[in-house]
Amino acid sequence: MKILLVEDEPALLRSVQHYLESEGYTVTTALTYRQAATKANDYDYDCVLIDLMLPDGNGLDLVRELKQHQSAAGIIVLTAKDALADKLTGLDAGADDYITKPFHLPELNARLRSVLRRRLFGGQACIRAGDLTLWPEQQRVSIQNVDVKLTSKEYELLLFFVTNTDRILSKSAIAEHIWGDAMDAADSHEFLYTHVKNLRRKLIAAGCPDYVQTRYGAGYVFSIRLL
Amino acid sequence: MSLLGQTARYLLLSAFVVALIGSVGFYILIHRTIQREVDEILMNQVEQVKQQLRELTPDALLRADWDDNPHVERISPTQLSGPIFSDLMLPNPLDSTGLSPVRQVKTIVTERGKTYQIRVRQAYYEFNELARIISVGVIWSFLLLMGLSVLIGLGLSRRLWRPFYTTIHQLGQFQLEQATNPLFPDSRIREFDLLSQSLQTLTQNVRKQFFLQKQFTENASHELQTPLAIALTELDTLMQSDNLREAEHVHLQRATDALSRLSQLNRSLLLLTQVENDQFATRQPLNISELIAQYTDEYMPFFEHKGMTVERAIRPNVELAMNPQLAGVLLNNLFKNIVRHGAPNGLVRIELSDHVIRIRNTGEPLPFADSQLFNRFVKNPARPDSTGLGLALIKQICDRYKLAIQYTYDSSKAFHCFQIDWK
Repeated sequence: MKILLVEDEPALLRSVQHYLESEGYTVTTALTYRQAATKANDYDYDCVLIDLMLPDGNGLDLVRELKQHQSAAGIIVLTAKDALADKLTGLDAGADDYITKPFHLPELNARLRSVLRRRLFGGQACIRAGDLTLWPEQQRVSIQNVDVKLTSKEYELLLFFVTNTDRILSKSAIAEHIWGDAMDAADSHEFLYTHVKNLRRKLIAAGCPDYVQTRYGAGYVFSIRLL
Repeated sequence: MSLLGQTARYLLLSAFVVALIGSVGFYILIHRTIQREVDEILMNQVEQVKQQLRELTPDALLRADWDDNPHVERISPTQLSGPIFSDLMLPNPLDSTGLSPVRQVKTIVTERGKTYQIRVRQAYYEFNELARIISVGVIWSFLLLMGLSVLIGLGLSRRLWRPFYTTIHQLGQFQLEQATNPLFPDSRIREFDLLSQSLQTLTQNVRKQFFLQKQFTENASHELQTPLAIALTELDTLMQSDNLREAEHVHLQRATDALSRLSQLNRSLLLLTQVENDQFATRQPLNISELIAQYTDEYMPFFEHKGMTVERAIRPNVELAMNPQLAGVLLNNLFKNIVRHGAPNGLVRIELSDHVIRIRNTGEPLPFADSQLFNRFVKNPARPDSTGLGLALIKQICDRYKLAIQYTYDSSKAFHCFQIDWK
C-alpha cells in the first residue's frame, strides 16, 4: 500500500512515517505544497494524508486538484482546525475523512484502514483475525461462521482492536475513538474497562480464544500470535 | 421618545403658550385702541358743544335733542372738573328688552360766564363687536401661523437629522465579521461629517483589532495542537516498546492523559473565545426536543454505568433558534457535567417544556460559592481532571442567545438544578 504523507512539521512527519511503515505501508513524504503536488502528479497512491496549513499553500487546493484529476487515492485531511465549518469544507472538497490534531496513531490507522477498505474493496471486504471474521459495512462479526451479537459500541471496539493488532492501545486512545466528544465525561477509563470486559465475555462465550489482553498501566493489546 | 417627537412636543407646547399670550395681548390692545378712538370722538363732540355755547344763544342749546345727546345743562357755578369717562349699560332704544354698553363723558365748562355740565354718550356696541371680530381674526391667523411654523420646523429638523438617522441605522447593522467597513453618510453638516469620520475610524480600528485577535487566538490554538500531536505520537511509539516495565507504562499513560487534557483545554478556550467574539453568526430553528432526546440517548450508557436513574419529560417539537454547533456544545457540556459530578446511583431528571430546559441531578453540594460556578477555571478540587471551562462555555453560549441560565441547589433533596429559559 502506497501512502503520500504531506505534513510541514518534520517531527510529526517522522513519527507518523515511522508508525505507518511499521504497519507495513510504503510511505512517501512531502514537506511543502509544491513537493506534494509534484509527487501526487507523478505517482499513484492508495491514500494521501494532507495537512491543511502548509507553508506554501493550502492543503485543500491539493484535495481539489486530486479530485479534478480523478485520482483513485483515498484522501484524509490532517489538521489542527477543528471547527465544524472547516470540516465541512474539507469533506465538500472531496476528502474521504478528516482527522484533527492532536490524534492518536491507532486512531489514524483506524481511519486509514477504513478509507482504504472503502476505496479498494468497495466495502465488500471482510477482515479476518484468528477465528474472527468482521464485515465492516454490515457491522457483522462471526466466529467460525456463527454470528456473534454485539452492541454497536462493542463492535466498534472490536474493529479498533483488530485494526491495531499487536499494538498496545492506551485507554485514552480507545476511549477517544469510541466515545469521541463524550470521552472526557467522567471516568471513561473505568467505563472502558466494563465494555472491554463485556466484549471479551461475549467472544469467549461464542467460542473464541481470548485475544484481548490487559497490559497493566498501559492499556490493552489485541493479538492472535501470543496464544 | 424620538428626537423629532421630542422636538415636536416642545415646539407645539411653546407655540401654544405664545399663541395664548399673543391672543390675549392682541385682544387687550385692540380693545384699548378702540376705546381711545371712541374717547376721541366723545371729546370732539364736547369741543363742538363748547364752540356752540360760545357762539350761539344758550337757550337754544339748552333744548335737548330727541335722544338727549349731547346733554347740556346749566348748573350753578361750581368748580370746573375735567372730562370723566365711564362705561354704562343703558336700555337700548331700539331693543327695549336689552341693555347695551355705552361710553360716556362728563365735563363741566364755563362759557361766557355761565357754567354748564356737558355729557356726551356714544353707543359702544358696534365697536365691541368690531373688537371681537378683529380679535378672533387675529387669533386665528396667529394660531395658523404658529401651526405652520411648527410644521416647517419639524420638516426642516427631519431633513437636517436625516444623515444622523442613517448613521444610527448603519451602526445597528454593523457586524464585526462582515467583509467590508460600513459606509457612513456624507452630509453638508460639519458635526455629522465629524461623527461619520470618527465612526469610520472607530469601526475600522475595532475591526482590525477584532481580526488580529481572532487570528491570534486561532493561530495560537492551532499552533499548539501540532506540538501536542508530536508529543502524543512519540509517546504512542514509545509505548509499543517491548522493554518497558509496568511502572514505565503508568508514567506514559499519565503523560498521554495530561496531553489529552491539554488539548481539550486548548479547544475549549478557543471555542470560548470564538463564542465571545460572536463568530457563530448563523442561527436556525432547531428542534430542541429531538436534540435533547438524542443527547440523552447518547449519554445513557454513561448514566447507566454510574447506576443513575434517568427520568425524562421532554415536550415534543419545541423549537429554539440557535447555531447547531453551539447547541451541541451546550447540551454536551450539560450532560458531561451530570456524568462527571452526579452522585453514583443517583437520580437524573431531564425536563423540557415550551420555554424551559431543566436538568437536575442528585449530588454533593458545591465546594465553592454558587456565584462562582460559571466562572472559568473554577472546579471541584476533588476532580482535578476537569478543565473548569465547561460551565463557563455553557454560560457564554446562553448569554450569546439571551437565554437565562440559573443554578440552584436543593439541599433537602440534594438536587443540583440547571434551568435555562427563554422568551
